[in-house]
Amino acid sequence: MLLAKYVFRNITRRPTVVGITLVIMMLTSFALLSIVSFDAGLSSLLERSGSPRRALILSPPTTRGLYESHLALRDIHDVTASPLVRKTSVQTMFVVPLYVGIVPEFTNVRGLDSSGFDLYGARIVEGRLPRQGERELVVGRIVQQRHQSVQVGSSVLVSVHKFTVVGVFETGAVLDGELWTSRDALAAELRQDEPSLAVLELDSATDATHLANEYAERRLGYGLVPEGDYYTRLNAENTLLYQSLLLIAILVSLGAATSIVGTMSVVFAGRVVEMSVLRAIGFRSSQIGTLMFGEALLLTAIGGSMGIALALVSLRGYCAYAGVSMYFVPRFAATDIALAFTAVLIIGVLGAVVPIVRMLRMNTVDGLR
Amino acid sequence: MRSSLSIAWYGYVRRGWGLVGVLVPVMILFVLVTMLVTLEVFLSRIYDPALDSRTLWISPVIGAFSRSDITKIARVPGVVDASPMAWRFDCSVDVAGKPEPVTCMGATAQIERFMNRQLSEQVLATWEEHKNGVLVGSSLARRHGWHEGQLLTLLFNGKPSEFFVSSVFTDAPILDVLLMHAEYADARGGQAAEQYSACLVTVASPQARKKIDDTIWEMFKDTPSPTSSMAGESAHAMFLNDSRLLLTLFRATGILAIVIVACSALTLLTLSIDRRRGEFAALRAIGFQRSSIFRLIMAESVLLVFPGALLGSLIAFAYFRTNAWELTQTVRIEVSATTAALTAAFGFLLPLVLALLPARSAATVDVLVMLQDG
Repeated sequence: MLLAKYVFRNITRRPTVVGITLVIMMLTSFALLSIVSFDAGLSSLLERSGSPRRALILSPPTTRGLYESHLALRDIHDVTASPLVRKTSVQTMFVVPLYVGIVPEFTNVRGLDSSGFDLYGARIVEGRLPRQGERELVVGRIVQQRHQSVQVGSSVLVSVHKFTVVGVFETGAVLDGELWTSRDALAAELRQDEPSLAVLELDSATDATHLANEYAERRLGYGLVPEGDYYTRLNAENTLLYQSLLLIAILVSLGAATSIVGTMSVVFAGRVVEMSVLRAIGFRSSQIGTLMFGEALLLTAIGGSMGIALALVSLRGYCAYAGVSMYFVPRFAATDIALAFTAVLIIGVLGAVVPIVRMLRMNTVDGLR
Repeated sequence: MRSSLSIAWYGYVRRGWGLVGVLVPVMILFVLVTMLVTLEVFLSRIYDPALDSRTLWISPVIGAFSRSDITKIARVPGVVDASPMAWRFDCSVDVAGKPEPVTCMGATAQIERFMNRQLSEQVLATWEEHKNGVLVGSSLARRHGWHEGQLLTLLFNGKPSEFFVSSVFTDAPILDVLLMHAEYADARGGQAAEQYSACLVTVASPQARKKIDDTIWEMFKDTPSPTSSMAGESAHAMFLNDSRLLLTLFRATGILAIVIVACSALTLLTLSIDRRRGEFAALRAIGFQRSSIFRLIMAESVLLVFPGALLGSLIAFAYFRTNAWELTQTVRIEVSATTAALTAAFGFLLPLVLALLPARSAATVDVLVMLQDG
């Protein structure tokens, strides 16, 4: 108890130095948690997108923008007629820029037939579904969250005509970053009868794989991919992003840790006489070591908690954009918060080790002089 | 002057192993700062000046522009230049028996207006020698392991055509495209049909842009190719779309690194000055001017940050000069000597700014009171 009081008193006695050290720890934990939460937000969104019981027919057979795909219905008729396929939804895709200032954020407009709206199990959370053939659309929950200009009652320019927003939908997946309209209306607007892609619903994941293999052998120039695989591949394309984030996190942590070594060295060096007096009046090295570690740990814990609180408050509800219709919110899992906090504690403690050891090895008489 | 610097240097050297705690963090964080400065220099260089407030990026929503469409746009009052651009997405390349899609751009149009400001003379000269030569963006070349002289079989709508890599470019806005002579990249699939994917319009003044934009939209509204347009600055931002998240995080952490360096240096400086008030009073008593004390603190501050900053910039230069890092398919980090020097110069100026207040406080110490207090 006495030690705790002593540690607390020491911290409150040097407001400037303590304040700056707290800022360093706060910024470090803020940076670490932000990086981890962005990483987790994007990857978890893609991981939970795509059903194993659905498959996509598209051209080219890659993860490039769906709006670049074009199908000829006659070429895929025998596949959609397969007894394995329970339901088919042909869809037309287009992309529109939604602006944040002068910056365009490209967002998919998906033209769906009536079966398409049921296919994704989307929930209308505000307004209603668009009517077939009308220039109306529904907006994904996350697009509405990010773009204040896209709300129920507002309009979006699709090709040369304005489409009215009549509702907001939610699927819990990456599709929440899209605008949905009726395929008839979009096809008429784009003067394009043939669809961009076809989505097949099957009985099981095995059927999806079986059909994909069977289709691959025909080499029609289109690809049939299980929807889950499509999003897994999309996630894999972000590997570079994840690696870059990891590198930044490592550099920031190393920089902060060594910076704490410097700061603590100077802080403790200014207290040589105080520590020597403590030893002279009977304090053991272990007690003085505990005291110094206590100070470092307390400072780190306070700074780390402040950074985590700052990240939670400032980034909660923030919606990021990472590519066409790739809107996501940072994800704050309890394990990630614990990880960031532990990392900051380790940085603080490791930073304090060198100056503490040097201090404890100092001769008491020399210290008193 | 000399005595101030000598004292500062003496104090710096006397830190011994304590220097590591100062040098290493600044060095590590300045690697990050060098990367950030490189990124900013890269971004400012590759897009300027083709896309600015005097340009409009016009695309047909449906179909493609014909040569006569481009001529019509060029004749709109206030339009200074209308350059056609062409690219196609239906091209793929045979990689180990599997078709991998590549984006091709019709180079003639690009080189006239958009790419020519960036691609080096040498790259262009090599490419112009052979009609079946293609220029490959470094990102694309890295992904597929392509090198100069390599033969490529490109498939347009499934039909194979033979090309070779005439050069790999690193100095253009988009690094994951393949530039080819225009006759191969038009929208009709290699039949030189002069169908264009977009038109880059330059207008006389930024004020005239909105009116010209409206005129062009009205002109094509009821034709088979209605248009959509984008301001030049927005088109600039469009190319960065796949990199924006990473750029934001990079900028944020780069600034954070600067703040951490500043905080650490400020702490060390403040503590050091507090402890040495008696020393400063003694120096004043033996004849040092206030300006000498001020210079002493400034010099100490520079010694705290600059060596680490210099080392960090040099490490980043040494590593990224030979191992260019493609952050995304559009953004590349390759540290040049100029960028490293720029960062090191920043590492020199930062401590000078930081030390202003502490140096002033040390210089104005009350000599008599401090000497009496011992």
